[in-house]
Amino acid sequence: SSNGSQPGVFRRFDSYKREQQVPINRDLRILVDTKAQTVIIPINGFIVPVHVSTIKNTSKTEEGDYTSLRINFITPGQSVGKKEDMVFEDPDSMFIRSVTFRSTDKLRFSDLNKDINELKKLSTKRAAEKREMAD
Amino acid sequence: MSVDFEKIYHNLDPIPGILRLQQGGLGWKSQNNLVTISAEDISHMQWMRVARNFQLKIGFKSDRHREVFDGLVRDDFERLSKTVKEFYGVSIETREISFKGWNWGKTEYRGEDLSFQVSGRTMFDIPVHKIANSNIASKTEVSLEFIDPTASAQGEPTDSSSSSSRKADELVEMRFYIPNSEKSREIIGEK
Repeated sequence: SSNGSQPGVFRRFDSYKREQQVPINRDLRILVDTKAQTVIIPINGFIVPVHVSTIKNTSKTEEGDYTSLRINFITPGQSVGKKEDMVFEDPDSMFIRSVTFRSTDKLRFSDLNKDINELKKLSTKRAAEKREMAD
Repeated sequence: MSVDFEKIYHNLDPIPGILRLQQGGLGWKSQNNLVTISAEDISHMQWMRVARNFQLKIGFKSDRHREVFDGLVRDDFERLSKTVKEFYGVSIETREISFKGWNWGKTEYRGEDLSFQVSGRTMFDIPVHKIANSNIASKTEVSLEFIDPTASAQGEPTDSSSSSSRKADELVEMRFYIPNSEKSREIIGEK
């Protein structure tokens, strides 16, 4: 059986199905779209959505006027935790492993860090509930 | 005769201006910057969805770095493509962008850009000249560091470019997982 919520089976996801659903980001800032379970990162003016399922964790550091926020992603060749099965649709691909941004707005980066972690926590909880229901 | 588009951004400049297309070329003007492009130098144009809505990307015959104009709306496409066809004899190529939210795909060099592709669609391009440093961090990891993003994002220094007016979040580093070391050398080597 290929139950999508079974551990060991890659669960497909799409942040946005249509271009019209993608927010406009005039300030070129990192955004959290809770409804789409997605973090939006600006890379060279592009709008790059990353689904919460691809996010491993974040870290925040302060140096002088700048706060740096690093988002680490789930990729092959790393351990995520015993409970989680590492399943990849295409392990021979290249993967974005991390992005590091900086800002002079300490407070906003602090909030962002919190929001991304909250999103991750919720999604992990939901996935666990689904697995329980399936058992 | 000219065709204007308002509230248009040039490259990563935070201040919008007017994009004006005329027979001999095109110009963009904001309160403190001016960019001109001559018709003879235009080699190709592309249209794609980016952060600030839609983008017109212009590549050149000369060794000038490409220029991009953001803030166009979907409905501008018809007027824009008709105008550039008539004025410059150029057909705009539409590029499909990935909004899947995946972090895996492949990279390829496209002209002066390193392009990250997901299932045949573009996720983002990075101009090679903005990569300050690249390293093979381990057998399966490559890191890219970027040139002071503020300096490159804000164009010429002006009174308004003090740190308090820097609104954009600046990308300083990216790391990639690379399944084989041949590919890592290719990414570093071609830079």
